[in-house]
Amino acid sequence: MKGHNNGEFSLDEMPPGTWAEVVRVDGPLYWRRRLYALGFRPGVSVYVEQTAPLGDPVQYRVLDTWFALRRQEARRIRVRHVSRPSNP
Amino acid sequence: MNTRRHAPSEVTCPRCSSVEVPWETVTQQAAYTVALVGPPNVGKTSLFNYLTGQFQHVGNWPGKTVTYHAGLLPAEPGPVLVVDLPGLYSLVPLSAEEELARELLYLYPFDALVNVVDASHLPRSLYLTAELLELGRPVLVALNMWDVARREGIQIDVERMAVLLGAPVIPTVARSEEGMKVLQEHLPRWLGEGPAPGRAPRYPERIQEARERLQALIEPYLPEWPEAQVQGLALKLLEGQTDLLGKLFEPETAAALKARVEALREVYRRTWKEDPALAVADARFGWVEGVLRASVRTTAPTRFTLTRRLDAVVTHRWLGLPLFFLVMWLVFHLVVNVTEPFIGWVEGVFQGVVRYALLEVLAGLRAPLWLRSLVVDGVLAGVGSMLSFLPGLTLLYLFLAWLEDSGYMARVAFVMDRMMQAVGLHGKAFLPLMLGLGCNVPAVYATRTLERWQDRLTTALVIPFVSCSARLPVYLVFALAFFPKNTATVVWGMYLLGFVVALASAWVLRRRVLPQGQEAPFLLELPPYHWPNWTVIGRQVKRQVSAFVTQAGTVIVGVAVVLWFLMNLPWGVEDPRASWFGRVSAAVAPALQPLGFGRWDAAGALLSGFIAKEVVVSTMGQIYLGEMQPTAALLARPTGEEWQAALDHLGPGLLRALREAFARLMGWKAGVFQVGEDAVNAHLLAALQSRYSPAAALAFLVFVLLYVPCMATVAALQQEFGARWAAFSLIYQITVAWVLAWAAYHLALALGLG
Ligand SMILES: Nc1nc2c(ncn2[C@@H]2O[C@H](COP(=O)(O)OP(=O)(O)OP(=O)(O)O)[C@@H](O)[C@H]2O)c(=O)[nH]1
Ligand SMILES: [Mg+2]
Repeated sequence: MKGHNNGEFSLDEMPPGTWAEVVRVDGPLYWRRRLYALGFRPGVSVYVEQTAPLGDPVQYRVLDTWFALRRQEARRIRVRHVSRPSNP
Repeated sequence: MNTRRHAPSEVTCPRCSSVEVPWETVTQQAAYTVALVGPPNVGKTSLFNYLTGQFQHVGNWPGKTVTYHAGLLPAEPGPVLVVDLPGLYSLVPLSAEEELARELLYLYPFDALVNVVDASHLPRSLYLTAELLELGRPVLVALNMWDVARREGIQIDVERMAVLLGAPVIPTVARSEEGMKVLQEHLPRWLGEGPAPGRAPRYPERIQEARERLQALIEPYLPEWPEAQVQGLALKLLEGQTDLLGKLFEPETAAALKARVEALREVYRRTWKEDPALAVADARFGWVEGVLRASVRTTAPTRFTLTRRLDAVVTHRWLGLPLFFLVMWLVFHLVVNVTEPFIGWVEGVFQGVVRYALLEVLAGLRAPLWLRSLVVDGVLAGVGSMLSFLPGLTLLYLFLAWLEDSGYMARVAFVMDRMMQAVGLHGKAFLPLMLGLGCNVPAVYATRTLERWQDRLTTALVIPFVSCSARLPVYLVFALAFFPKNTATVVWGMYLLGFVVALASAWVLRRRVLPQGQEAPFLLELPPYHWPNWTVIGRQVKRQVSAFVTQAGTVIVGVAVVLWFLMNLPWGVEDPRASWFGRVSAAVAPALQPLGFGRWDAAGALLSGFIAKEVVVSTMGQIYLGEMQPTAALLARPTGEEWQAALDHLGPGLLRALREAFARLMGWKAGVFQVGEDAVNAHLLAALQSRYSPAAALAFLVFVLLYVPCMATVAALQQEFGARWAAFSLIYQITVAWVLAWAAYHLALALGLG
């Protein structure tokens, strides 16, 4: 992971096996709202599970649910690296 | 082409403009109407099936139900009409089927909503619950997947939760029926008591204020609505769901209101420094967290360990794809190997016992020759040749249902996404293609889960190339006749070719025919694995098998009868080729000449195959067997010896077939099919062998794989996308079929299969 401004990354930069806490979600409103509803919202921790065959999409776990997002979408989620999830 | 807009979600759904409620006729018998609402894959349809005794599609992946089903629950104090809706992540729709569900929720006066939630995933499920409580209707919460929650150490204080939601909360396990009796008894009683609306969540002051201002704005226009419902609508408008206005009011009123709503939203956006929609979403989460804190305790530190372990392999970076191909190869290998031994047996039963019994009856009735020929050559041959494939098809349905109910299906979409991306589609679009392996018709409807209209249309247009189960008999018969040592390979090759053509077509359509547009965002839920439930699978298989048998009993009999007449008209014609059917077929045949099978009988079989692919084999049976069975055989009563042989075939023949199938299933025996003495089917095989070269047979198979699957699929395309696209797909498929069959023929000739 390259260092960024004040320790922020985009979710697709996080390697499998790490925890990340959502800081901000970018993109069109309808899409942000949907991601929010599913748990990708500021303050929530996301676990990066693994990459699909051929490198895309990536499997994430959030609030005990597994979701696949393409890198393109994950790029719009700004996160902070955390060592432990803040919520179960 | 329908391009009506539902901003901003890119949903276009031709049927959403006006709600049609097909259950209106049933409503008259019902005292109450309730809707089952909840996130995708929480068990709504399982619940529905239990309550109404129906057999709707159940499986472990999100997005199976794409339309509504209605069914009656007979009860005291009055029968309840239960409506199953597509799953919704939230009341802000992104795809056609979500749009459908939302529209019904707003426009249809349900007496109450049954909110089905996944007790093992409450943090995610309750968001929608908040939105439903805001609607101002009575809500009853079914805490489904109670068994999973218990297993994962999630403890829920049901009474506390009921108080917080202002709604009855009932734990259920829809698939093992635990708690279902309680729900079934409580629901009608609760409805009879005239329940109050659920308790709408209280949100922070600024949101309440904003809502009240919008409420004041719309209230005068909705004099009939109860206050709670107006409040709910106001909140949705604050979130920017202004398209609702267009559904509720005349265009001018809607436009005027919309302008004022947007102006207000703009004011709040500036003062709050964020979009009101996100502020409301945040408030809902605050509420959800409050409910969770007060009523849920988790004991286990790590949950869903089985799913974690399985996914480490199934969706693994290197193992994922090979595993998928291995699974599919295995499925078809087993299906083909197990099917073969039964073909001969079922055929034998039909051409033996059933045929003799019919002949006895016909003789007893002194039926004229033509009637005997119609019954025996027409109907019996058609139905018999179809039903002989039932064991194999049952096994195929079984495998597909197993894959669906385990949770593997969603992983397939995940694993295939990158490949689908290359042709301009979503991994999710692979699921309708997989469903197409069973039947293309529901697969066309299943495309509704795709967010963008272009994606839906592209997927639906290529679905017909996916080989449905009705095509399997054709491959089997030809493969047995021409490639007896490689039956499974030929069949597997056809399936693979179908997928390759489908994907290549998607690529072409994407670039040349359908506007590219921006990519729709990709988001896919991967549900936890379940150990597949045999009752669920049994019902799935039963549904598909009975659909197939009904098809064999109606379409095939119908076609066989019509065909028999066409083959015997003008009345008394001797040579079938001189019949009306023969003459039409012969007129088409030259178009097939370059493909190697420019014969009237091939053309005839393909013509009748437009109605349904199953018919191809039965038509051939009718043409060839009719030629082979002398009229005398129809007049004579079966001899005692013949009866004896036919009866002997029943038991020992079945045993032999079972033993053989079992041996193959266990892999003791290579799939070499012996055309045994009990395979009456040998007539058909011999007839084929004498008429086609192996190269022509291969080309014929390619043609059957790729040309129009059946009338029902064309009708489904027409219903979903309009007559123009249905016509386009028809022409496109025939062109592709012709070109590739030509290529296959010449390739096979070059390889020396002439
Ligand atoms: N363990 C367990 N599994 C359940 C329960 N209820 C349903 N299932 C399973 O969960 C999966 C989803 O069930 P469905 O009834 O198809 O869900 P749905 O909500 O109608 O799904 P969509 O139509 O896709 O929105 C299936 O595999 C069911 O067998 C339950 O109470 N416990
Ligand atoms: Mg369903």
